[in-house]
Amino acid sequence: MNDTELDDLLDQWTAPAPSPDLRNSLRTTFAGLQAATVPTRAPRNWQLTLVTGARRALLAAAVVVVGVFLFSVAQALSQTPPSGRIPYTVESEYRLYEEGGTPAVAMVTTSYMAQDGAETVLSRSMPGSQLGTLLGRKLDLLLPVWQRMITPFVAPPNALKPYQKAKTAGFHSVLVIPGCADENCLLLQKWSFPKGPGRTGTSTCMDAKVVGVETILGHPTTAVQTNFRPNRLTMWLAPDLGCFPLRINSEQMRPDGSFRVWQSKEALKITMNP
Amino acid sequence: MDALQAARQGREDAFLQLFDEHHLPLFRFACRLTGSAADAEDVVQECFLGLLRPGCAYDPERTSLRTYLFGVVRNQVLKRQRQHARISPGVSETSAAGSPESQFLRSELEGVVARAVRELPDTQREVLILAHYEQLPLAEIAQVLELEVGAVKSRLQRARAQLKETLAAYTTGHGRKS
Repeated sequence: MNDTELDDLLDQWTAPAPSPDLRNSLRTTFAGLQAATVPTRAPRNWQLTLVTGARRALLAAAVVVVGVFLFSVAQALSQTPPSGRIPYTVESEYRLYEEGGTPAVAMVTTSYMAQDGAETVLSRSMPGSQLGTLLGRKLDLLLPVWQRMITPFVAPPNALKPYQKAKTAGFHSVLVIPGCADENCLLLQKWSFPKGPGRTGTSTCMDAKVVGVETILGHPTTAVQTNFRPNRLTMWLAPDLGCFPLRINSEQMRPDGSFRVWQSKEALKITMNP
Repeated sequence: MDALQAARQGREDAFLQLFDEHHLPLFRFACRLTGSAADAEDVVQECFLGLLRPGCAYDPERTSLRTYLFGVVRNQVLKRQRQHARISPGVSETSAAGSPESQFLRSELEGVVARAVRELPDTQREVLILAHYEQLPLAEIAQVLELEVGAVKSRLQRARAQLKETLAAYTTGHGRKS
């Protein structure tokens, strides 16, 4: 048999077409994800692409000009204390793991779970980086304001519709901060998940698979896992602290199918009625 | 702004554009690797959703999106195969003949070719499918499989040699050779 004959034979094996439902199913899932995820995290690739090559100089100039303006706005904003009583605060450490290396502390935060189910950072610092700490704090204050300002102009109505619809329908979510969105921790990852319906095998804190229970710093937690292959998040949520995540492991799948932790959060200290 | 960035920012039209551009070859690849259209659809869906998730490893400066997606499909299929092997060890090609996969093996010859390809070792089968059915250049296959181009070439040669041997009877039997 020569090569042409083999090719002709191989061509006899045709693959079927995918079902039209595949596109619809993906579309529905996409809309659901948009509804469940508060679009606060700028994609990492966007950030990296933006700061390459000749754009760097332009960006630097723009940052200086805009930075001066925003810094003064942040100064004003930072004078405003968070409204409502804070029932507790949790001091947490965020670590980054190199493959096969020892973890490095990337950030330390003091936060709590607000009544709307969103983890709220009161303060944070990046060990060994005073400038990073300063910039990070200012960005925490400014980004939500900035986001509210620009969202109506940059987000197409069809992208916002599912989110707004879910909000109107009384959609309850839990917003957690698994770690940093960039290497310098200037931006925080913020991920929102649906509240748990209390079905068997799920947590009342979050609609996700329960993988264990553990007491951390004297508070019972339920460990839940969300699987976004190739990524996986395991969160230890404390119901008596408003579902605050006392520990979070962010894992990524290796080519061989096993997972490695690349980022983690660990509560170090809980202060009640601060 | 490219389609992936737009999709990550919540634009459904951009996400569907990515899907429309890439899903067919990915589905065919998954389908031929798994032997099941349903499994292939799951894999493809997972593959596109993975692009939106935090920590997605895709780096446009290192590889094209198509190459990355082929790699994700391959890893997903391998993972499923490992899970399947753990659940029901000893599942063979013959026992799979009556499974849903056989529904799309329409002719006898098609079935014979499909079986012959599936009987190749995993490492040869994926190279052959990417090279013959998806017409990927050897360099791109090497990126998808994280191999040297030389290794891809030799696996492809071995796969084709094996298939020539396995399918020899069918060529003459079907009067394809004068």
